[in-house]
Amino acid sequence: MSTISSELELLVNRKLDGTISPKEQEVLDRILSESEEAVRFLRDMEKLESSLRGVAREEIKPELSQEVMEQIHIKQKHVFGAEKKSFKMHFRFQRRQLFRYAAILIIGLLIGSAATLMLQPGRIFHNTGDMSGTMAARSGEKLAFSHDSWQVEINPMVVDQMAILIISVASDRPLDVNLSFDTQAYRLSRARYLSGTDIGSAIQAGSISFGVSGKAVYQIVLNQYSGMSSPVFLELTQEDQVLYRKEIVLQ
Amino acid sequence: MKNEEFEIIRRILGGETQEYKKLVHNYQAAVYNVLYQMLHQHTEAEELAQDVFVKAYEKLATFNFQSRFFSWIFRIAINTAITHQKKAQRFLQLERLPEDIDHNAGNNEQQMMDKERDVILKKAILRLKETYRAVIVLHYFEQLSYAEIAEVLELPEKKVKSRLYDGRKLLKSMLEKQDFF
Repeated sequence: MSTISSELELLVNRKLDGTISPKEQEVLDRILSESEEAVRFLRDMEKLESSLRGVAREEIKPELSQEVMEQIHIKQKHVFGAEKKSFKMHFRFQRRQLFRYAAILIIGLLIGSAATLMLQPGRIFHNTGDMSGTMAARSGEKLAFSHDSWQVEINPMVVDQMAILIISVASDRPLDVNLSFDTQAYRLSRARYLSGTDIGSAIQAGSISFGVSGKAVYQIVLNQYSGMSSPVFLELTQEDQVLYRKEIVLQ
Repeated sequence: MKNEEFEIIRRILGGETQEYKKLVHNYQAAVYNVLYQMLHQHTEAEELAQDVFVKAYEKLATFNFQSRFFSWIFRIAINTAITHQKKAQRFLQLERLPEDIDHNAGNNEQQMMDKERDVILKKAILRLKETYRAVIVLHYFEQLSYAEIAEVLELPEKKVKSRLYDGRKLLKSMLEKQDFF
């Protein structure tokens, strides 16, 4: 059990801030000379402080002023109505708006396609017999794996160098789903829990795993490095027993 | 700087709206970086940074000329990040990987290890409650003093210190479980 006192915590924090007084330093020195645990505490806190100060900070300088001023202008137009604008400005707004609508339309189509595919049993590729080996996953074609007590469906969407996987899992008993990939070929861009019961998940470099009991749906987005091709690996385990292991080639 | 900015704000309020571009230009990087450190998502940080400036423009008439513009805009940014994260909470059950981590980066073993330690630390910061994360981000990444953080968060300095101390303690406890030390 930890015996770190609140007095020691305060003194160490003041030391890290550089605001410790000579008298407080004396007290701290005394505590340190009497307790190994206190020495360890100070050492860990100093290490944390130096790591926090040294953590790589990404300084990005985006150019937002034009965009912001345009948004303000559009809002003002809505508020005040008949504000006159030059043709050039007007054209620029129209063009930007058009891009936005196009982007929304594309996203809508992607979501719509995914939803449609999920509802089309005729296009499901079932694989229940062979519990290992390699299989191809074509974009837009649902893969389904099932057994008596569990069912897993994967909807892959491969667009340019991005693979979106919607993974639906249903299981009577707790089931662990692990998806791993080569970090030379893929970079995990996003992993989201969309619905159902999530009973624990973990992300590591090159793998994502989640536990399901009942039903759950996940979205995993992988960015593919240019020119790199590599399968992803799906593994299902229950009570430390591997039930299913498959190498999936995304196409 | 303070008086110069006050003068710009007065001109904007007087109808010279294009002057606002100067304020956006001066603070866009700082606002973006605060949002990025709070969320670790580039696209969201950029979109929210725009929202922050638009929101600030709309509220500019309420600016009281007592605090500095930077603390006012940082406050809006932090609150925007917190609100955004609360809205998105349903989608944050899975641990999110900070976007700027390139697992292929680093040419030697030491660089790889440093990178891994950065990843572990950044992930731990992301798991902190927003109130602690905001203080950690402003203190370590924006290098604000306790007085400046207090001004941004509208908290007494004492409270800022206690949040920072508690934040460090929580980080230590999370990192201990991952053999960070």
